[in-house]
Amino acid sequence: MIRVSSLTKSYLYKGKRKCVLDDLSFEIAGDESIAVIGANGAGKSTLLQLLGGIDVPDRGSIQCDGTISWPVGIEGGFQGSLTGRENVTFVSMIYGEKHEIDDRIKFVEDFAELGIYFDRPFKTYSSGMKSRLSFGLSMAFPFDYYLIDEITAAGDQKFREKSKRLLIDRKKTSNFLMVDHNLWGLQIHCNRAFLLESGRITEYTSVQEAIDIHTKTLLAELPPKSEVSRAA
Amino acid sequence: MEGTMSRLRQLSGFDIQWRVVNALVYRELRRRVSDVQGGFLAVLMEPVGQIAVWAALRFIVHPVGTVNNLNIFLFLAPGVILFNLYSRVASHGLTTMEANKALFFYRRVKPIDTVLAKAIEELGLYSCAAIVVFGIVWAYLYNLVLQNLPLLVTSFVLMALIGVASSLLSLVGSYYFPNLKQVLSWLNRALYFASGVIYSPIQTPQFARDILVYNPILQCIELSRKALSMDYQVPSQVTLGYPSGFALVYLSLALWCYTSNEKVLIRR
Repeated sequence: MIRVSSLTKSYLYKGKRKCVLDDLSFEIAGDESIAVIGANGAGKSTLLQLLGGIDVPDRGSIQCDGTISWPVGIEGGFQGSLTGRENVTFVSMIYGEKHEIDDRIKFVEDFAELGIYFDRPFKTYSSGMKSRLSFGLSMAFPFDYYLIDEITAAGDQKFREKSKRLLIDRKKTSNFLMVDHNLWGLQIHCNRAFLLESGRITEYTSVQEAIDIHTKTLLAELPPKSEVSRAA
Repeated sequence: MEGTMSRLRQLSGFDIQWRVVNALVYRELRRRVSDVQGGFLAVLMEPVGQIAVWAALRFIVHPVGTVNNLNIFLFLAPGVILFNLYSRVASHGLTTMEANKALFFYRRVKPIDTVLAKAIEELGLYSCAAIVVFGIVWAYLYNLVLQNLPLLVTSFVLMALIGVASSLLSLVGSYYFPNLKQVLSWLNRALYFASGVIYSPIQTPQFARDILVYNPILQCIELSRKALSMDYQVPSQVTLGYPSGFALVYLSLALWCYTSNEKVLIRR
């Protein structure tokens, strides 16, 4: 279970403090996966980072009785001059049990299907190869909650399908806190939604309902068709 | 595959830190082997090169093979190696936040872990450098008499601890004062000449010696030379108690400063 109380986060922008999350309080039960929906810049990724303990709030508290992943698919933590295997070993030494390190490496090697590139420096990888390695690494550890930020948009079709299947399988034992502009993906994996607007959240028990309201709000902000054509 | 993997355990703070530091040492050593041309040899050659240059300069100015009853190479080696050890550990704090920013996405990794890992790595590498230099001296000059090994080891450990404290303070300081990097770089150079790396403090004028002995780095270097030969004369103020007490107080201050600011440092 995750319990959040009075969570507030702001950033300094051009000398002024901009409040991104304003006094949020909510609970996530141990068997729930949450879709976080909102427009660009609404604070979805910030909320995920705070829940994951990667960033600290200005005020408020987050209590969690399970383990939370790093943002799934993040590539920044990889050292370019090290091979895929060495990078995976590094993370496995931190998160895995000593006797399971080889199993974790094997899992990532099999999932990523990099062949000989698994033993070549990370900086030589294509963007698709990087995505496969980083997603495989995230899934090599059975966390209670996975932070998933836009991951389903990465890689080629085969990788996306493979990732989707792995996520569905992982859903049986873990929960997701998910941000994705591919709203259809959210429906598959989540059973509740938070709609973020102006720093506040509205909770929805139906993901579909939240998506409908969000889509309607976004489309209502569009200028009429004639004005768009004139601007173009 | 999933079935063979156990759920992640909730670990104690100490267990997490132990794992993280181990992993960071592994990562840094692998990176050094891949990135630095010549790998470990390049790291080991750095102090050897410095020793050779200073030995040559000293010999030109004053063509005698000993300094204060100690072979010139044995005299220079502890100074150069220990000061480099301190300097590399201490300066790491200035760059670690920027260099390792992405690593902090793994919530178990904290800035202090990168500092500790660096200290362990450098302590290991410079200990190897010391063994190589002493080995060369032993092989060619046959006059290496290591009279107090525990004192030599203690000097290395104290130097690494003082380096960790300086690193933590500069880690916090550079967050509040970004220009600190420039200032500390000059300070480091001044410290090199105030630490008795290339001269014996007992041979300096009394008034200068009375000030220099307050420098704990100089005291560590002097103690390590004393450990090599009991004939080596050190100022009366040089004792193991002073650098040990200094390291304890300095490290406590640095840890207090770091823990009070850790959240500010990882804030994005």
